[in-house]
Amino acid sequence: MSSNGSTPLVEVRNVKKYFPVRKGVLSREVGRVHAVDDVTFAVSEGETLGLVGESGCGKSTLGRTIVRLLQPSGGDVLFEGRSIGGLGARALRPLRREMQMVFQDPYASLNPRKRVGSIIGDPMKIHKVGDKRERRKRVQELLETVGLSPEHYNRFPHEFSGGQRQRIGVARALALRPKLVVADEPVSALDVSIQAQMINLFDELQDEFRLTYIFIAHDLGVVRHVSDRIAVMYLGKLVELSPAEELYTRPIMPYTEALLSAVPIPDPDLSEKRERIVLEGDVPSPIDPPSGCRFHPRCRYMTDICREVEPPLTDYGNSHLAACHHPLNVDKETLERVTASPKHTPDSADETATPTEPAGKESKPVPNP
Amino acid sequence: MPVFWLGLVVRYLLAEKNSLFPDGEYASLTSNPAQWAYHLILPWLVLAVLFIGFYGRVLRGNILDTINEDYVRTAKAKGLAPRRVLVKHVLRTSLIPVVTLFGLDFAAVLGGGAILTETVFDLHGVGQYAAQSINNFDLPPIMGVTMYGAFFIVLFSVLVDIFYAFLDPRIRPT
Amino acid sequence: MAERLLEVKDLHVHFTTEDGVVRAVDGVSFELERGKVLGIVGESGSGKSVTAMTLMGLTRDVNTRFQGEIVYKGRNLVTLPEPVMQDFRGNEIGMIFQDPMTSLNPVYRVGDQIVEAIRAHEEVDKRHAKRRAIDLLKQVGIPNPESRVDDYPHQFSGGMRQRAMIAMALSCNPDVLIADEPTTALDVTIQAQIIELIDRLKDDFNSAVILITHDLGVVAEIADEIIVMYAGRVVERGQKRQLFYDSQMPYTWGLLGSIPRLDRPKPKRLASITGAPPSLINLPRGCTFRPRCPHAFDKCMEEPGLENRVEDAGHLDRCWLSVQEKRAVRDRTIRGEEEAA
Repeated sequence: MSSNGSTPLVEVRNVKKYFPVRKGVLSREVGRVHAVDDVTFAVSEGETLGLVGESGCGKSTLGRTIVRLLQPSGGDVLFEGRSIGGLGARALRPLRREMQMVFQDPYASLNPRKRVGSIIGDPMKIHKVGDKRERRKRVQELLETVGLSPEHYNRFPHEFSGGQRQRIGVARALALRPKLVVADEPVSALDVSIQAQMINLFDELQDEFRLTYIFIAHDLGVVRHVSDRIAVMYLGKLVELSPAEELYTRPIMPYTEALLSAVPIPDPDLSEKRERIVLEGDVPSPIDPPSGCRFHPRCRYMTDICREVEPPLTDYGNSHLAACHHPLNVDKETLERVTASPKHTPDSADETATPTEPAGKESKPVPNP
Repeated sequence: MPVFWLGLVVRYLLAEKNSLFPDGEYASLTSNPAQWAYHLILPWLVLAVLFIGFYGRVLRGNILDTINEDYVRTAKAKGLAPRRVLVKHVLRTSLIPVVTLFGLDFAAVLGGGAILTETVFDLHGVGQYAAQSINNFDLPPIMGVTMYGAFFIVLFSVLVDIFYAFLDPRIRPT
Repeated sequence: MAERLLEVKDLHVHFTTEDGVVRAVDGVSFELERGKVLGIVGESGSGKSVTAMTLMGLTRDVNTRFQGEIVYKGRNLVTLPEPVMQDFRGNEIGMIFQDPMTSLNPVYRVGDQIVEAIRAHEEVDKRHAKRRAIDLLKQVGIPNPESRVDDYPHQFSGGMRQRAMIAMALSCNPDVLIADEPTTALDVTIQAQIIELIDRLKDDFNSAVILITHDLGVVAEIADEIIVMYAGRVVERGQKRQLFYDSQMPYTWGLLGSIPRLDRPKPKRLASITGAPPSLINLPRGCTFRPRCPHAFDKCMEEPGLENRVEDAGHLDRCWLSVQEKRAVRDRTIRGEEEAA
């Protein structure tokens, strides 16, 4: 957790990322995809922040914006206290050693025409780290660290399985000893037993290399295992930010409740007893998001205010923030004492509109043992 | 198959020796369409052969890619007859890139690219005209032909783009 | 006793390749009854998809060798002549695939693709077929089916596309629906919708479902009977509760352990199975899971048969350990306290 006074490693302040939608002969901008729409949070050194949400919520875009593969359309990203949102390519180059990314698709993210040694070693070459012999040694060490054999140095990606390729991707990310690793759905494409191996690997590496992770996933089970805190995104907005365990025992925002409820549990009796909340409809398009609270069209507890006013990110204590007019697992007395968090609340939201009417129920979408 | 070789051989065998086809003459389209076609069959064939190899290879490549696509598997899983799967699903999608190439090639040929064919078959076409003008260092006709060719290339590029949108609905403006 | 629709008897599917013979399916047997859901669980290379494709006759090729039988309504689908198999596909047995984006032809309208499926098997004119397509779209829960029927696949969202695929697969009222990883490519809230849909439609259409997945959570919800496949073979088979609460196969324990459980306290380390699935060309001697099994002992060099070793009839497994031994070590294994050397 962020200790008082020390700067967080990464800070995201009111970050927006829009993609223009162009139509017509002259490619006029007719709309925008609000991929990331005013998100604020900070990640401390050594911490793992899980970033979850479904397709179109903007988590991947946010991840790429943080490592400056994309430039924010608005707001800023700070790394070690220094603003990097507006830096040009040249100024960014030394920073790239400190922030690395691991991608989702192990079949597409490795250059099939390069040997493994080159894939892992090239970052060092580009940043002029060590001479040829040192680099080779380092690559072989990295291969061992990720659980592969140093003899694989000269092989090509297609000679490996999906799980092994993903390990190569991780080795590459670690080559420059970064401080921050943004992992974008690193295990989604893998078989269940290999997923478990990879998650354990991420855990070990974090301790060994003193890494800070932003772990992007859509699988709440995976995220729970690796994260200290979890941020839930919906249609470009941050809707809940909570210490990991508390998200599962005490979700506040109904979207989180629905998300948790949708996760299948491999236990037939529990599965049957559970109250399953199956959301109606699809995730709306990020080009034309709903007004007010973006989740309102699909929310069971929706009322008029939800349609009109965007709820602020309210602080419920213990660093648990949620943006909702009818929070769950909260009683009326607590609501009288809470305030919105001005730091986290987007400009488009109304800071004074802290919730007054709880949803009034205790919700445990995840059955407890 | 280079056109100057094939053209000469074809012309010799079929037109000069055997008079199966008219040789060295030209009937204009407006006066007699049937004769016009008859006169031009040989040059057409020769020109086509020039391109067949290329298009055949491109199409084959596309078909090999398409056949492994998931939607072809779905089509088979629906129980469609193999011919239907091939024509309606595989061919249709494989032909799309071919259309683009064809459009551009067609424009180029119109703009004077058939010069070798014209020379071999002694047809006074744009290509020959351009060649002669270059020979004579006659600037205005050269400029004229270039503009003419450029016009067709641009026109056909636009037509191909439009046709492409017709063929692939993903490209249409929503 | 429900009607038995399908019986697979000792099916083998071997592909001859340059590197050798790939024994993709190596002796698989199971039955399917009307109104039931059979879950086939396995990871990549387990042979589950090849089994499904073989049921549809989609693996027929010069380089494929088949053995065994697939008995559907009295006829053996393995040896059925191709034109008759074509009749069955889509008509008697429908199939939906994993990625609805790539499984629908992008250049044809969704309605047209459904109409094509209908008219491939029934003598219906286009107008009527389209009417049916609209009804099907409504049945699978697509709003505004009258206008959506003329849309192209890319105009649908992922969940809608999968619903459209389901509509198409059910268009000729097949008695068996095979769903090959139908929810893997979808968001978790949409997954829940699709699973619910499949369950409901199974009853509406009075058919049976074969659900292929690697996700034991999904199978815990709607399957009646489950088979676990590994390296081309069935390694465990049983009713849902038997499999989840009294599993008799270490591989299944490994799978159960690898899933992060939301309803349990977080373990220090996620249980995983060491190593990787074996090559299907060079299978290990004896039990195929032996190299990765934390409990392997000398008898495992001899290949175990798929037998009923436990008291519950119908619960089969391929493990030499005694039932008592299994029950003693199972929970520890699932929790990850035992891993292979």
